[in-house]
Amino acid sequence: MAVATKPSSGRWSASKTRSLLTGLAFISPAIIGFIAFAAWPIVQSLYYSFTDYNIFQPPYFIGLENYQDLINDRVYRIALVNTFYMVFIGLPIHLVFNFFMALLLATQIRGLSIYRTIFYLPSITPVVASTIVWLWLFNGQYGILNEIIGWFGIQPIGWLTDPRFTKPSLIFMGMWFGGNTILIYLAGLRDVPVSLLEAAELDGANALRKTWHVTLPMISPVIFYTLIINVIGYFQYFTEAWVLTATRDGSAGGPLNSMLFYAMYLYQSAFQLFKMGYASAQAWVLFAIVLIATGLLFRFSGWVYYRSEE
Amino acid sequence: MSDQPTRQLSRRSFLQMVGVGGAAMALAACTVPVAPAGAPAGQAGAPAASGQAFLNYWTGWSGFEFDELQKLVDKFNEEHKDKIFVNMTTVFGQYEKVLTAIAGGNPPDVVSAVWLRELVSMAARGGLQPITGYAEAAGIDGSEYFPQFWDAWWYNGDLWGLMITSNSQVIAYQPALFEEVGADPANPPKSTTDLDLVAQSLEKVDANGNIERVGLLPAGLTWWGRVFGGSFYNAENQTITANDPKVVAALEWEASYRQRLNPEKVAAFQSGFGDYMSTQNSFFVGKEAMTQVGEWFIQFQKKFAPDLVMEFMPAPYPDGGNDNTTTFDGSVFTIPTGVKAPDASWEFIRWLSEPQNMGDFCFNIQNVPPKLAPASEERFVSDPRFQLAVNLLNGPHAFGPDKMPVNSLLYSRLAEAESAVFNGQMTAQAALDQVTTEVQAELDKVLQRG
Repeated sequence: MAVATKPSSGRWSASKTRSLLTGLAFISPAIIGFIAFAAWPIVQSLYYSFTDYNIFQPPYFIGLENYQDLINDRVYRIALVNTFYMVFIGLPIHLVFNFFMALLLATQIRGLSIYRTIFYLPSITPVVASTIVWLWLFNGQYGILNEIIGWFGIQPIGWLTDPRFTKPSLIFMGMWFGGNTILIYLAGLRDVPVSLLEAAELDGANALRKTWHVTLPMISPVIFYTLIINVIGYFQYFTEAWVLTATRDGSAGGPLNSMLFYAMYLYQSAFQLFKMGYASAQAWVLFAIVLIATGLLFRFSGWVYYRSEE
Repeated sequence: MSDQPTRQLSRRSFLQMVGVGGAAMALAACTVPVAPAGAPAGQAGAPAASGQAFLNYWTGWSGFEFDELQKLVDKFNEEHKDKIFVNMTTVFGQYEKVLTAIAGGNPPDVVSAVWLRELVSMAARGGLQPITGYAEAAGIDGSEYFPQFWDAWWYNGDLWGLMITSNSQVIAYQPALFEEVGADPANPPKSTTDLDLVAQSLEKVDANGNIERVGLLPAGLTWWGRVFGGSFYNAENQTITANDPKVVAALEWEASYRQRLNPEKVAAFQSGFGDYMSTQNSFFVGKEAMTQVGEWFIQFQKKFAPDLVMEFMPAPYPDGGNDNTTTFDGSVFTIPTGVKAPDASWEFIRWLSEPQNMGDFCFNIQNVPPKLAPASEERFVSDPRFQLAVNLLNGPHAFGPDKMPVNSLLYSRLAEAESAVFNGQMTAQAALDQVTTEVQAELDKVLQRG
């Protein structure tokens, strides 16, 4: 900022003031909206996290009690573990899968645009709608998945009813929603210099070595970007699990809470158990976790290769 | 920049004014909810000239039940022409809206999306206005109501709401299937021992162990716990008693049905159930020979399986348990805190509670009217199944939710305990001990902070 606005004449004219005011006036809806609907609530939630706040009565200051309660809350721990499961197991599987899909969709074959359309289609379908479809694919008695594994003599699996299979089922389903990430990888793959690939080919590299030694390093910033964005997104995993498990009386989480994720428990605490303060504390702990996770990713991002740094 | 002609600057000034004006409008819009004007009844502001009050009413009913209620609201609006106009909105599936609206100081004028089990939670936390004075002035002293209901709406010496519908819990069964296995449909089981025998004889499992039909899959501790004679809360010393030996026995008994059939097979079987509100309902298609329902199921059956013969029985009970046990819950009509002109809100609730209006709505959605007179009208009790539901509610073993402020937590933890025991993860005793400890801790906190 200081460098960019370094005054050439050293004089702040009236017209510049007017210009500044005009500019501020134009962006004021955004600024006011941000302060009123984002910044202020965020600050408030930090305060609420130190209170017992049932939403109807004024918040009652209790210091760190909400945070201490989190440590002893059995259900919270379940939600935390489930969420980590999705981030540490589900996310890597999805990213690797999406990368391979992008590699396949980057090959020059007949009808390529049709394939690309097909793989992107699920991403433009509303999540709730497609999750309902999956609800039936996973169905224990009539689901097509059990039908297919039955051809190979495998016993039917309780995809969404057996706690051992529920999270793997969610991960399996998640592969279907990878269109956006695939699209970003595809754009990255187009950016890999053909000259490098040709040079590697002349040196006798096969497809695997070309991918490993040329393609991967060249698109590592793209991978890094999708990793960061998805880590943040997976910590907030909500919609699919909610749609699959919500019951008519409002509870959700599936058998033995095996599909109860952090954001779901936060929502339940706030709106079903009247514990806004406790929910705010959960939100801030989640923020801290995401911050640390993102920080660690940046700290250990030596594998990311930026061409501009040459 | 600075050498632009003045003509341009003046346009800029104009734009400045537009920008500032727009920002001011945005600010003004932000402040409306937190600074309610002293307008009579409702944020939409009554058309002051005519003196008509405009009421926003939020309901939890949806689908055909919403349509039936709308007819009643239209009738109210017609009868109160130029005085009160009620605008009904459904918040089905978005109940958090009610909380945030009340907390934000911009509540609906009447809300019925409050479950009876949450009435005390909301009243104790200051979310509702008592209607004691209104009821007294209108001469409503509870004598017209089933005593259990009237009692359920009181807390801390105040009346907090009224219901215009209610439900009763029964077991529906198919006489044809009873006959198929040699059970007497005219004499359904009275004890859990008899029920076990009949249910078992109705079960059908194929060669691979896959379930094709069950007799009954008992579930729902809040009911069966009561049937077994247990209780969940001791109001005198404010303690959670979810690990009452009789509740533990009820849960063990429920679980025995899953163990016999294999919990995994049961889960797979249940996941194949069709949409509840459809012709594919598991009971209508014969996958369940008996099922736990309320009297409203009569309407479902007429709609989705009109040719099916269906009877009702009260819950069979064990030695030391309660006969003719039913539990009730339901939507309570309440006036939230912060409603500026509650007189009009009360008039709407009072009007809906008139026997004729209440009775019509209940009849159209086949619920039990909470008032004795309409509930004993011929149009209801000419059906012996409905008569049974009414009798249960009028009997000594009709239980409402306990009057304590952490019912939501208790109910969700009880459901979790059931799931853990059904899956064989915990014993009933351990699961219910855990529920008791955890819910008690929360209750203590809420009570301590008042």
